[in-house]
Amino acid sequence: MKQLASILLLFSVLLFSACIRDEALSSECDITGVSQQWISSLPEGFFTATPVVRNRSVTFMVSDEADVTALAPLFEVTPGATIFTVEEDGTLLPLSPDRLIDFTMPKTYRVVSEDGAWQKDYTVSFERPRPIDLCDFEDFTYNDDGSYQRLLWRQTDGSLNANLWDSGNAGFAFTGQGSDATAYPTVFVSDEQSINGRYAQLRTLSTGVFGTFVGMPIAAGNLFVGEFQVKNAVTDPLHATRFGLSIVRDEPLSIEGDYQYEPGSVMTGAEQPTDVDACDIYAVLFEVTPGDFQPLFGDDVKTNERIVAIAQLPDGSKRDAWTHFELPFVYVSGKSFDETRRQRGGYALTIVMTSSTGGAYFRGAVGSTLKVDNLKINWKNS
Amino acid sequence: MKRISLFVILLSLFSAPALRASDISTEIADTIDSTPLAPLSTCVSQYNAPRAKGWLFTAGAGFQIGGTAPTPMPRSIRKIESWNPLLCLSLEAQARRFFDSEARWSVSAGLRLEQKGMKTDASVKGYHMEMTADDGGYMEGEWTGRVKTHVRASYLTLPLLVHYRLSTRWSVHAGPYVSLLLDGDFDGEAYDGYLRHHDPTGEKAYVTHATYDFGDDLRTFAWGLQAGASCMITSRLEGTVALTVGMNGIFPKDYSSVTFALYPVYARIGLNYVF
Repeated sequence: MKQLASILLLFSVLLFSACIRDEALSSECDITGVSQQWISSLPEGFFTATPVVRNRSVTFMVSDEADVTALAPLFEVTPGATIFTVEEDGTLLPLSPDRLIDFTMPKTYRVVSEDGAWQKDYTVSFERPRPIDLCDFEDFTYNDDGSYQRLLWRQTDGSLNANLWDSGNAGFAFTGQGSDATAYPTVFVSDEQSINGRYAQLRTLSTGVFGTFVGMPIAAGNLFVGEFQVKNAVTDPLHATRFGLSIVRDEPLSIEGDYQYEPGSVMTGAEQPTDVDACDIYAVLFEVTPGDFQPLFGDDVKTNERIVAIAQLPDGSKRDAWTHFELPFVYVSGKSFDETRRQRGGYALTIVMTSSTGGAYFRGAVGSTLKVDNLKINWKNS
Repeated sequence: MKRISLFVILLSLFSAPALRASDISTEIADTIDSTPLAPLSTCVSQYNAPRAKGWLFTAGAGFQIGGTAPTPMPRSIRKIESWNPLLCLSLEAQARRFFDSEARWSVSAGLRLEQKGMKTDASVKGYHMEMTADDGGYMEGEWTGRVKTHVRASYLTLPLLVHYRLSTRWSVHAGPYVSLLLDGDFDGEAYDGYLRHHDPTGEKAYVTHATYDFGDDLRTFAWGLQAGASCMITSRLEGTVALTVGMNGIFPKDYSSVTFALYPVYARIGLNYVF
């Protein structure tokens, strides 16, 4: 009996281990980063932000003086994968530090997986973000697979920039709750409530069963100047939101706009049973080290020591009708605007809007809806 | 409580045929008892001529050890980091009918209350999954990281077996079984890894900990095949080992939460009292 039992045990273990088949070659094909060596080889002040590496694009934000006509950026890719540039005639050329590329127009790169079965094209572009004057939320685009909307910012020079504003929509895509692009927390809509074409509609939504699986029962609608890094959205949501860009052209005096807010009825994660959801709209001016851009994050966007001034909606309660707001930048004690610092690229700015103030901590009421339009920054010398 | 009362009912079910068995087989037993043989010979004579074309009843207990796994194992499963067979017990009563005069061939029908379960922790790479939640949420992606799975299902199983006696002590058996799910857990967690949305080129999201629970959706009716061997240890005690292989997945075929079929493959080790 004992012998039999041990034979059976052995058999069971063999059954499992013997069935493990040879490891397949990697099927992933990502640009995982930008070569630090290449970044360091460029003059100080060339970049005004850390490169934004998305799933199918890499965006470099550069200063107005930066020459982008002859560059040979180097990228880090998934181990085993190979990267090429896609030429106009469709040929693939391997990267070389000696082959200089003109980035006046975006360039397509292709990464092919180790197993050769998968490939992904990346649009690599160099942008010079313009300071924000007015944002009326009229232009938007869709993400790579068309599942959600992304705000396009019409810059003062008429160009459309997809990398100024971001939202948590990419994270919501994983919950499977977004049956179509308008079912996401952050959307741009035009309807009978419009006061000036499209407006930004931010809604706190349930993330459903899958959101519950990862302990994130709600997703607040949000829209902010900066970058949402979806890959960290589950493990470290407070650091997935990277707030701010070097888009300060002058001393900002205030932000203004119009909003409407309807809090949802049932609070998730309420600290007190009587808690009512509230919206939040604010702008933060903060210091950055030129050449070493550090954003603010979800847990320090209002408290970081580098903050110079904050413009804050004083009251995030219900507003039935469109309500005008003008929020002055209030300076942190002991800090003031330094024009010399600005000229060196030493300031960054973010604007943040959310349908649930506690959204970063998954506190909010499903159904809370914030509508914003005609957002404007008033600069001192406009 | 529900489970305990079920056990009681089943135990009484088991004891009823056992009593009858002893009544019916009194005559046969008398024959054996009156045979002046050494204890070992007595034991090995259990399947012998006296019981030819007669009935034999057994009741016993055992445990199951094995796994509920996709077959063949997908290439995406890289390593079983740990495997805990859990303590899965079973109770069984069997009625066996001999046909030929040498008592070589017999068929049996049994009733078994059994648990099949395990706890595993596996490393996977690019493990494709597709899930639809009750609220309509749909997720498809490839998971690279660790997966913990905990399965424990209680079944009422009816095995129909053909037995063949190899020697005085040894016999082998094989046949199908049908099972009725009484109670089941299927839950676990995916942790320390990342999910790629849709396919390997999709958005990547790191996940430290995500739990799942599909226990309510386990299939009620299961069937499979069983094959094994038995050995008479003493005159009244029979040791038995058998491999049971589920022929239908533990979730319904069109179940969209877990799209790959998981089959229960378990060895049963048991000890039966022969009446």
